[in-house]
Amino acid sequence: MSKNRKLRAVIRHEFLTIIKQPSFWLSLIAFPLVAGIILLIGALTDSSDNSTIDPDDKSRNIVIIDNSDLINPDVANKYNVKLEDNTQKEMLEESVREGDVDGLIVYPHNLIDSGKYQLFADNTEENNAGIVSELGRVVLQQSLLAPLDSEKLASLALTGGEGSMQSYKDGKSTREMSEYIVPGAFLVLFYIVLIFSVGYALSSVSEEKENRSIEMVLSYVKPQTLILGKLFAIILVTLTQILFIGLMAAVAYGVARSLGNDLSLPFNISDLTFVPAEILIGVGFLIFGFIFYVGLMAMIGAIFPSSKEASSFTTVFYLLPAVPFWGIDAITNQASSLFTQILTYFPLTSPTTILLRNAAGNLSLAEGLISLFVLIIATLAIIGLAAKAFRLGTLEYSERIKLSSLFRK
Amino acid sequence: MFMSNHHQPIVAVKDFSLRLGGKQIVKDLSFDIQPGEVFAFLGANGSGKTSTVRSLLNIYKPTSGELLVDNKPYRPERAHLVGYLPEERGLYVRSSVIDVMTYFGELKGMERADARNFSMKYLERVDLADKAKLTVKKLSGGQQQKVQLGVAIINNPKLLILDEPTKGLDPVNRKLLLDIVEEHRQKGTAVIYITHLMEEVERLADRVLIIKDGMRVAYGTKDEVKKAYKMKTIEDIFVSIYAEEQDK
Repeated sequence: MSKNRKLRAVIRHEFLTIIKQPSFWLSLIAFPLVAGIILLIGALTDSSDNSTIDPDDKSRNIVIIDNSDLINPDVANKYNVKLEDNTQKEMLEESVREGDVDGLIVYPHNLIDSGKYQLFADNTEENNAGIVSELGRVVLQQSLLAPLDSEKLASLALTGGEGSMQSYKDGKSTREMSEYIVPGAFLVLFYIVLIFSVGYALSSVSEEKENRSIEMVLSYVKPQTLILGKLFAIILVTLTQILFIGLMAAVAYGVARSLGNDLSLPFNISDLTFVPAEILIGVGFLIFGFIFYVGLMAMIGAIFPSSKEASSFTTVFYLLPAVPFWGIDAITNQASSLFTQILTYFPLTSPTTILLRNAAGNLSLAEGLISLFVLIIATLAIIGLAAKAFRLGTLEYSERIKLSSLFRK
Repeated sequence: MFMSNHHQPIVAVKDFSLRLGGKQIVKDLSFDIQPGEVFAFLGANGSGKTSTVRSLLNIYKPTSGELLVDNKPYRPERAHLVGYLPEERGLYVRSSVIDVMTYFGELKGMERADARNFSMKYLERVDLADKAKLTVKKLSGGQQQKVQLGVAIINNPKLLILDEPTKGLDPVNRKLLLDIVEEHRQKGTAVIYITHLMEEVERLADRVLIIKDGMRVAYGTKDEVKKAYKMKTIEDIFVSIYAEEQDK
């Protein structure tokens, strides 16, 4: 009971220490904020060019001079645009300048060859130029499609339809987008956790060494309890981060939608495939990859006398999980190559390699399970070493613990 | 208020030796500490005092020998028995004073509410109640030291280990700290008192242990030690022990 109380106390203390830091919220807000700003700028840009034409709008006085003979009078009529002779051009230009006419569109004789035409607009009223421009495009487009005599045919001609791809490589079918999503999500989650959360294990341990509280703490708590408490606290921190980012994304989505942006996903949710073996491997590597890296960072934090020295040492451990992306072609296309196999079983690279191969669909369940077993053993070993580094860390406030001492009995 | 040797010792160290990094830190050290006594643990810097305390608290593993607290080897599960103010001391500087004290109370097995109540009462006593919600880093060094003493005594321990507790304190706070130590001794708490200030030893200590190079060189009541060395003060004895080394 006392042990659980201590564990709860460590979790609460670590969690609150992290989330009470202004830097935690700054870094958390910065990421979705930047994404949100980009989204908002996109939405505002779209809305500023909001030139949707209402065919029933008779308030605008826009004129077309068609020297190309390509414009269908019915289409022009549909959009309440008057057709005039080329002899009126100068007078109409002057009228636009004076604001008596809202817009003038002049299609030249050589429109087919040049693809270019003239637009004149009175921009006294905001967005009028956009509407004239859009009318010039729509009237020409619909006039050209008018011989098809069917809106559906015209739409198909414009969009080119939507194809469903089944591709093959070396006699095997390759994956579709919808098959990448679910296993790929574990890779994205693992990277978010690696970038945003794992570092807290390092700073938390380094702080205990730097402020000299580690000796008192270890007098009252087992190193294993302390590491476990930090681990659970970081899990809670991660969940807080995911919840917060999700909330911000929902708000951004709502704002963008209210501004008229259609933010549809590039795939249908109903098309997603859920393969149990892939999900098992994804969950396994997400959890144990996370614990492995937290243990590793805690150990590094305990080895070095200051967070500054420890941080510079960790760079390599952030680079190694990125190696599979550097060799992504080999990872996804040459599963049996030595390079892929080494990365598959080496604990510092196996989480990203396996999760990448899991998404690419070139991972066998046996490979995944063996690599997961290796990762679990490595995780237990790293936590044991971290606990030992904690013990020895109370010795050394000014010097790095010798690595050899970690392996000595 | 030193209780007699008839009591079960709260600390029993027998034939304790410690080697670290190939170096002999402590050799064949034996002593015991009774409930209600202030036990002055003396020695020059690097003589092995802190290492002995760390071994007693299971932070270091002894090379040989036995170190018992209340009849059993100390483990963190028995943290309710002990209050420790280490030489290398520090607190979580970014947390509030009350949160830090409560946290350590919980680490010693206390209920959160009890730890918080004790902390508030203690902070009132040492005139820091208005600082309870401030972060530790906003306190002065002396104020932080008072908070650390509070952390050490929060669980009303049977054994209080104080490593240079008055270092850096002004005379007023030094007196306050020594009064608190005296109160705990009166309640039957055994105090291991590590210091270089011999007037504190003369004032507080019931018994004395002086070590040199990890070995016991003087051990007993103040009078016994003075008699053995034929000197009037502990300071004279301490100086004579270490002067031999300088003469060499």
